[in-house]
Order: sequence, then C-alpha cells, then structure tokens
Amino acid sequence: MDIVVLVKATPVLEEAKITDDEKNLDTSELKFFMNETDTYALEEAILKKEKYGGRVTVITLADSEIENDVNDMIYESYAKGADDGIIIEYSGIYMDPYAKAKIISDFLKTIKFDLILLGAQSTDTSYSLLGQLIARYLDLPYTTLVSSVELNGNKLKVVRELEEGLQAVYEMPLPSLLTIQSGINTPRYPPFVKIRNARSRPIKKVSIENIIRDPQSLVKVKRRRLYIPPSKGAANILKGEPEELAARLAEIIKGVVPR
Amino acid sequence: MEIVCIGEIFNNDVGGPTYEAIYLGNELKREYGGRLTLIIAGKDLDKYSGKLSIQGVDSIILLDHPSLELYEQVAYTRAIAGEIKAISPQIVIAPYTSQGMDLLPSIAHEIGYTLVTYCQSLKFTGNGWIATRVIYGGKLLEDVEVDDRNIVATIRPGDFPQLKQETGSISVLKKSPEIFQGKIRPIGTVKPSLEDIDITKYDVLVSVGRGIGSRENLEMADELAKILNGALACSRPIADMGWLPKTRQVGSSAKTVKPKVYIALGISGATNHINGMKNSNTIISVNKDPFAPIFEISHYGVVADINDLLPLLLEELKK
Repeated sequence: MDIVVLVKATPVLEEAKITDDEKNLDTSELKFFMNETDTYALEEAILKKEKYGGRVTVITLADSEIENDVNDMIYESYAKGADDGIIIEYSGIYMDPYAKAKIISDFLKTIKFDLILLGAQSTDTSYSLLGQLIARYLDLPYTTLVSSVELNGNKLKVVRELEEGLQAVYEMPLPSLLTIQSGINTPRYPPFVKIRNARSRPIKKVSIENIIRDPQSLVKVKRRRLYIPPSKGAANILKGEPEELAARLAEIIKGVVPR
Repeated sequence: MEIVCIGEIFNNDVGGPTYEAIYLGNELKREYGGRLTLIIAGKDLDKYSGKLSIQGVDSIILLDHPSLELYEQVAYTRAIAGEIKAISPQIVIAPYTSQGMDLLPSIAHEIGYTLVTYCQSLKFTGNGWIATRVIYGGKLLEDVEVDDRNIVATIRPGDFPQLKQETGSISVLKKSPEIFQGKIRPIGTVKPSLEDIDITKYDVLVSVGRGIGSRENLEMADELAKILNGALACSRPIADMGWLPKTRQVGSSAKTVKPKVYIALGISGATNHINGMKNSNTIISVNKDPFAPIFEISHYGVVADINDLLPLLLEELKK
C-alpha cells in the first residue's frame, strides 16, 4: 500500500509578533516543527507500511522563508521511516485552504498512491478543511477525524471519533483520503543518529510555479487583518518565587474550595 | 436575507451545537432581516419537532428516511444540498462538530459555496462576507473576507450561547429524500465501554495538560485532587498519550464540565478545551507561558512551572 502523508510545518508560539502590515505572523524568530496531528498521520502511514509493505511519501507545501525547519521536518520523517520527501515551495504569498488544496491536488495527480493521510487540524490556521477539499478536487472518498484504520482485503475499516467518547465505524474503498485525529497511535521519536544520517538523503523540491501559474488567483478566503485578541484582563496573574507563589496559591485554593 | 441553519441529531437527541447555529442565524436575521430555515436529516425525526421549534426559526425541513439513521457523507450531502439549492440562501450556518467537519465541506462543494470554518462573528458587506476566526490555539485572531454574496460558515461548538426558547407555531415540512449511496458504508456506532468516575459530578476538578511534563507528576496532581475532595481530569494531549483515560478528557468534543473550582495545571487553553470548562465558578490556572490563552478566562493565574510549584503547593496545603 503506497501512502502519501501531507504534513505542515507549524510554529511554536509563545508571544506572537505581527508584521507591520497586520497581515502576517512575524516568523523570523520562530521555530517550526511538524504539525501535531500530522505526526500521528505519519506514524500511522509508517505502521501500515511495516505491516503491509509499500512506500511512504511525505509531501509538504511550505514557504521558502522557513526552508531550514522544513528540511529538518523531512529529515526527521526519513529517520522515522518515510521513503520519499517532497517540498512544494512558494515564497511570500498568502494562501488559503482553497489555493493550497488546488495546488496539492494538481501535484498529486502526477503521483501513484493508494491512500492519502493528513492531520485532522493544524495548530496554526486551524481550518480543518484542507484534506476534505483535496479529496473533492481528486474525486476521492474521504473520512475525517479517524481514530483507527485497518486494512480488510482491498477495503479499509475506519473508526471516526465523535463527541462524548462515541465512535462511528465505516468501511471505505481505496484509493481514499483520511484525516487523522491525535491519539490514534504513539508517534515514535527517532534516535538522533538516525536523524543525522537522514540528512544525507535527497529531498525533492518543486516550485509551485511549475504546478500553477497564478496561485494567488485561487484564494477565496482572503486575510484582511491578523491581530492579538484584546485582553479581557480576567485573571489576577501572580508571578514570583515558587515558594511565595505556592503559599499564595494555597490561600486562594482554601478560600474557594467548598468544605 | 435567506438563512439556512443545519442541525444534527446526536446520540438520540438534538445536538446542543444545533442551538448555537440557530443563535447565530438569529443574530444575522436581526441585523439584516430575512428568513431562517432549519434543515435536519435523520430517521424518525417527528419526535424532535417540538425541540426544534425554536423562536426565530421560520420553517423547519425534516429529511426523514430509514437510510439516514447513521450518518453517511454522500447520502446526507445529496439530501441536504438538494434542499439548500431549492432555497438558494445567502448563508448556510452549521456547527463544525465531528459530523459537521465531515459533512459541510462536502455540502459546500456540492452547492458551489465557499466554506469558512470556525467563524466567531460574521458581517455582510453588501458584496461579500467578513468573518473573524480564532487561530494559533487562541493566541491570534484573523479577519477574513470572501468576495461572494453566498457562503457556508461553520462555528466551533461552545463559542455561542444555545438559543432554546420553544414555540409551537413553526411550519414543519417532513420529506422523504431520494437516497444516494456513496462508496463509504456506515457499519455502526460504538459507545465507550470503559467504566470510570463521572468528572461532571465533582465540585472540584484538578485538570492536567501537557505542561505536567512527566507521567510521574500525575501522582502529585492526583494527590492535590484527593486533598480537595476532587477528581483528576485532563486536556486532550494527556488522553492522547494514554496517561489518563478518555473519560477524564475535558473539552467541547469530549466532556463539558462546570465544577465549583477548576484548577488547570499546565494547560495552555486551546479553544476546544476552554469551551468545555469556561463556565466553572472559579478557574485557577498554572502555566509557565505567561501568554497562555487559559489565563484570559481564569479568575486566578500563576505563572510557574508545575514541576517546581506542585510539590511546594502540596506541602502548603498539608500544613
């Protein structure tokens, strides 16, 4: 079973800084890692490869501004067990899920696969939409929020996570697309030496101009403004030495906990 | 303005987020005038018509068919999209629940509307729509614009109040739609088998997140819960790692809780988590990131590393 895993590099964000035009995140001091649910999608692909054979191809669409972190993300995927890594590169343009889905699905038309996996949501722009759009553009069946996948002959038995602990079971054909929910498996941490060795392996780079001439024209959801939410100033924030904080917190807890 | 809200049946009842979609639909109706139609698909829907007859809803369409008992994307898409096309609304509003997340992209594609997910507010400009979205785990907001008079907007469960004022005088149209079978076959629904305490029944919850650091530290958190006659709960990452069972997970997609005191240890406060606990009487949060969104909804916040603070806190409380 040949599996494509779509991954995204997302930043670790503490204090956010916005660019002067109030449209983008200032990424100059941020470190990017593989989006959390994508790590589960990758692990699931590697587990299926180990069980049934086939190749795992990791594909990402990324701004060349964060090239080093994106390369590291692919090398780490190799160290975990991915066979091929492809970066579709663009530079300094804003893309919504519609533009991204069109570019990725056009590229996927040039690749052979049985299954596409990706995380159910990203920790940055949080649309939870990309996979569904790609499936529609490729006319593939899709299922979202998948918490278990099994291969039964030439069909998949998938379990979807619903609210309040309920789950729904479906049978799906191949080829198809699944968006993966966190917790489906336990992503492995490859040893450092494996990651170092993986750095000598090639990464295929594709420029989006080779796929779509005018990616900006595909954007349907335009960002007008990006900003930090106005603080409601709700919490009494305590800072200081741990000993002092523990004493004050204990007083607060004693004051509010019913006896 | 023609407004369509899509509701859902969840676990043999009207799903709570359906009432949030109706709330937002009503806000738009108040602002721009028009009609609100509620569409819901499933089996034996008659019994819900009372619960769906909410003030502000102008008409209800029940798409009722035995084959719609279990959610299946293609059958649901075709049935609901057919009704939407007949109404030709300017906006379709639906909750992005587990079902909504699967269904709405498919419906939007079928009717040719642009979908914007997790909208917190919506404004019609005359030529298009502007929506505000919460991104980066609650640390940033974005205003996005769609240059089209027609959109599908989905909302995050827990972001809006539930409008539930029932009234008797709404026209209910029941239809038996033509069923289109997709390539995905529904097999069944599985209920959680695990026996565990019910965290919604406790006055005090000590809830741990990723910031707890190690599994060993759970013992200290559990000790704190015991001292306070409370129970131990958690955010999603802790359940994902299997450190605590799913039954302890707090969030709008897991368990919604409202204890007297909620103590959040090392929880940054993703929107899903916050929507599952924001109505607690007193919220006390400890996090080493001073920008953690959880502080915004907390009554007391402590900027500290759990690993340093927790042993000292236990000592203080035992004094």
